[in-house]
Amino acid sequence: MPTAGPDPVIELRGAVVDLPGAAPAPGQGTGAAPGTLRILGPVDTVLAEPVTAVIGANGSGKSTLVRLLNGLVQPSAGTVTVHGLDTVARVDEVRSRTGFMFTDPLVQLVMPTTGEDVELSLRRSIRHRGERRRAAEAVLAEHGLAGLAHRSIYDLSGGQRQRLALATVLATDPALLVADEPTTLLDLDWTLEVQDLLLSLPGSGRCRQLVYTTHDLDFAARADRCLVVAGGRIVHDDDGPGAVAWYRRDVHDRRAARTRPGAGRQERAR
Amino acid sequence: MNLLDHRPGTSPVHRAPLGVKYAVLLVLTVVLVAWRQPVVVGAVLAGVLGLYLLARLPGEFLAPWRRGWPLLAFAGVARFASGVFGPVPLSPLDALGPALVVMAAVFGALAAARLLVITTPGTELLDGLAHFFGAFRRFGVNPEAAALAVNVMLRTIPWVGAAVRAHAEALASRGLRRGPVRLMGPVLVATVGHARATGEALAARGLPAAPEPKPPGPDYTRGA
Repeated sequence: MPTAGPDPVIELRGAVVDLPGAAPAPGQGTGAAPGTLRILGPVDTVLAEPVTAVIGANGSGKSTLVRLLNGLVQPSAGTVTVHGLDTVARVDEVRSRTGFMFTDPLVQLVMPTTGEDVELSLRRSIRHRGERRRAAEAVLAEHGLAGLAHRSIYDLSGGQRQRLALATVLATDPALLVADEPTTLLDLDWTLEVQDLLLSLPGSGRCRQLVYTTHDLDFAARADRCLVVAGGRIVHDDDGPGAVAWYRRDVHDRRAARTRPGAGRQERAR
Repeated sequence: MNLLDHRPGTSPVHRAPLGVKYAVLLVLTVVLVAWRQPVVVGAVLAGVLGLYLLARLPGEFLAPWRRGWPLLAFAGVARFASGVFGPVPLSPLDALGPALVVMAAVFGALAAARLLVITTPGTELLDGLAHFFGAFRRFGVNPEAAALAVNVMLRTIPWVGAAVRAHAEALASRGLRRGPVRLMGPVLVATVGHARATGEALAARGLPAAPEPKPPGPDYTRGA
């Protein structure tokens, strides 16, 4: 049960991600080792709020930051601790407590039909096939996808697919849910639907903490806390509405500065 | 519809235990490979057709030919050439017979294998494979991981087909002629990218589960 276990606190201590690469993009630094680029960090923060949003420009390091939280990316230096578990030393435990939702649900759904994909999530917890099938049907019904168990994932609408992706993730009963731009590919109706679903999770007993990245500033403003990332660092840290207001002002100020005579475009990079 | 998609049904073929299906497939394939007499191959083909009729999927019998005829034609041409230019040269007319038999045998094996895949739900295939790979546990094989790998590979074939079409369209929209050589590079890169993304998604879902010391193992001998 997600309600058991240590406090839902995520700690990043001097977390750094360096990747091999020779030529730094504008605003990128080199890593600690030669021939590497620093794409994130150092990041020092403690996330204890139920809902945290991460916003920032394309390529700023948002996705890398959230991938640190379930061990998909491991820090080159520093530590990341999720609910008391180190993401390097105890990566299996971290992953079994963490759900991850990708922007494109088709990447995440690996089985051919809706029901089979949910069953794949349940393999670890339910060994018996008949029980697993019934549990999968219950999960689908709970997420408004009843009767679609034999439907190919390619025959679902984009919104249904993202909802199914969420169902398969929640079927593993994660304590922490991480979502990387979960609404980017959806129409307005499904965007609001998925937003409401995600934001309703912490406190409903389904998962204790939600961290998501987004370019939708209205969505970001609904978070308890919002981090603004630029050039691989956290440049602003506030509640949702505060951070969004800061980010809007920052972007507009930069654009104004670029259009002034004599200002170069390279200023765009931090 | 994809070539390997599951076609749900309630026929005896659908309900047969997976172990029986694999045993029948093995026997049919061994006969086709080892005993290439026109009469034997004809009889096995008739048997496979009978199984398709029993599964109430008669329209699916010729699908491997419709989608895979270049492969079969290549096998036939290769056999024909080795007959005509082989160590004991045959006249073209005499070489034609063995070439047709080889094509029929390969077609029969493909059709039989496909019948197994399309009459079995993916999860059941996964359970069966996990059970099979369980025999190799002592050699350090994680059965769940091996079964998942085979399943992901099988289901990725349609994805690669879609990637070929998408890249052909991209070439056409730029006014370039599509050709296998031009397509190979981009499709290969896209496939590697898809493989990475799939691996990441599986890892994020905590799959495959770490091997356990003594799992009970699913009972794959029973029908669904």
